[in-house]
Amino acid sequence: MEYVLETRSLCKSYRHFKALNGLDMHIPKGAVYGFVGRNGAGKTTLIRLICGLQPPTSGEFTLYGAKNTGSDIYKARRRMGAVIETPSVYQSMTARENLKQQYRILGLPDFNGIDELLTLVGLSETGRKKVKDFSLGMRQRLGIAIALCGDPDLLILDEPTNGLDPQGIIEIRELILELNQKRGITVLISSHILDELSRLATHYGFIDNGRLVKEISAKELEALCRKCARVTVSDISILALTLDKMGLEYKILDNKTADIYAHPNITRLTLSLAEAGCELLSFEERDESLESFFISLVGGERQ
Amino acid sequence: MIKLLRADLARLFKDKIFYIALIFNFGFAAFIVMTRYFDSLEYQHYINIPDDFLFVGTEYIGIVIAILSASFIGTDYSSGVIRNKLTSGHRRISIYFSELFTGIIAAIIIYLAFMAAVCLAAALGFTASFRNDIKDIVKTIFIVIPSIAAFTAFFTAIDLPIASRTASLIVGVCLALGMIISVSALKFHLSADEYRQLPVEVTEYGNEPKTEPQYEKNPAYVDGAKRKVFQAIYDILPNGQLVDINEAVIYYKLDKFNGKKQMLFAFSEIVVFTALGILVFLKRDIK
Repeated sequence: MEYVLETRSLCKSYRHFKALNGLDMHIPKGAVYGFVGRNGAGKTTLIRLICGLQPPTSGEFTLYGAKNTGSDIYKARRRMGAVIETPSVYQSMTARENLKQQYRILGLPDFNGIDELLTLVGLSETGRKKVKDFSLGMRQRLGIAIALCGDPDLLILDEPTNGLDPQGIIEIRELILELNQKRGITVLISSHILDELSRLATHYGFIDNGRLVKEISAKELEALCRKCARVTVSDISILALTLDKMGLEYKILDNKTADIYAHPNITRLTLSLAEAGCELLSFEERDESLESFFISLVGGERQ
Repeated sequence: MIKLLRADLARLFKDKIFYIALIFNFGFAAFIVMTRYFDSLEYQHYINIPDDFLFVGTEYIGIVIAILSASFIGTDYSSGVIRNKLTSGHRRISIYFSELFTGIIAAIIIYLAFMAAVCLAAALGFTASFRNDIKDIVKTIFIVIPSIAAFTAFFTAIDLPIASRTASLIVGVCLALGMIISVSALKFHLSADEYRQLPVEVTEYGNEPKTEPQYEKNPAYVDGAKRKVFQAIYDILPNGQLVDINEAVIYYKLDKFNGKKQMLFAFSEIVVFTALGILVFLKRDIK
């Protein structure tokens, strides 16, 4: 498999704090790679390293085969575009002027393609409006348009839907899907909104405390996310005894609720519970969500 | 680096602060010339426009460069566009030189605006012509430019590592003012006479002294190692160099003025400030 980006034991320390701690990552070509982690896990730090904003403390990465320590890395970076945290735009310029400025930075010979970019991100009607008068969603879209200048093969988006309304989130999602499916652009997207990511990503990387704890394709994740039946009963201890007798795997959630990781015979279960003096109050079939998978992976704190 | 320079220059010529600085310098020059001209009419003393004013603005240009540099470079940080430059595959050293050259070009244009206002005043008939030889004036312009570039190199070396427009502005303006005050103080001591005359009693009917004039050692006068240190600092400070250039023009002493020494100091400063600035900028973590 061809990888656009690979990291090997990548570390980044800020004085006494280790933001990345031996991170190994592989982004396949053509993927939408969902980068998932808690606040402070190291997602933005990794993106900063790849984009050349900060040097790694140790370890290395290769981007399109170019090592980060070699001189080819600068050429490799020309094949990528990024939006890191907030969009990088001049507030006193219009959308078109910002794109022209990015064209100049890239050394593109003319300004062809600016109109198409503005149309693609839905900013073709902004005219002379300065960026400082844009909404957050408009700025995010302009940031993506700037990242798309020069036809990159890799797009890095650091929490692109932060602060957007539901309509804005849908628009960004559709844009990312279009870029990936129609233009073949590889996308690395970090996000807290797991539900949104689950509609986009073809691959996932779960990061915690500066390490990648799991790297998995969407297909593999789907297979792993376990179906279960969530039951609510009047006496959880009787349920536990009954399930043990039936040889079924389960997990107690609270003093009335449990998840059963199997397809129990509902009639048999109900009769067994009734015999023992326990009422079955509700029975619900569930798939394990990306959120619960992530929580189980990183051992999240639930209140 | 050429791509970055094109981009930075395009942004410079759209920058409001640049045009404000340009208009301010032009207006400031006109103001100085007008007020000194009307003073000369009132108090009956001779001034020569343009010689007396052509290089006066160089003494204060440090403040203008500090503000412009902090604003221009600070905007790249506050907008985040410096991240675009790095992500696009540009090396930090290219980014540094592009900002430096843009700053130098901006500073020269702003200074030319000052000179244009002075020449316009001369052309409008406030005075006849240059007192100094025009070739010497042109030579002096080429001596001034490296000192202005040295100022720009200094403030670029401060602003690129700082990454905050407000902090750069405060630090830059304080340093610029500090340099002006330092040069004034150093000049005061370096140009003081070794001995000064004590006050004398004069007769009722004239200014004839009753006693022989007496002299004492001037406390403002410095000598020995202290003088050497003061002179070295004065020569090193870019505005110290510019004050000397201005005085040489005003007092018609360009033939005695060591332009090569001034240019050597200025070019050395450009190299040193740029090297230090690049060293710090290369190591800086950009957020």
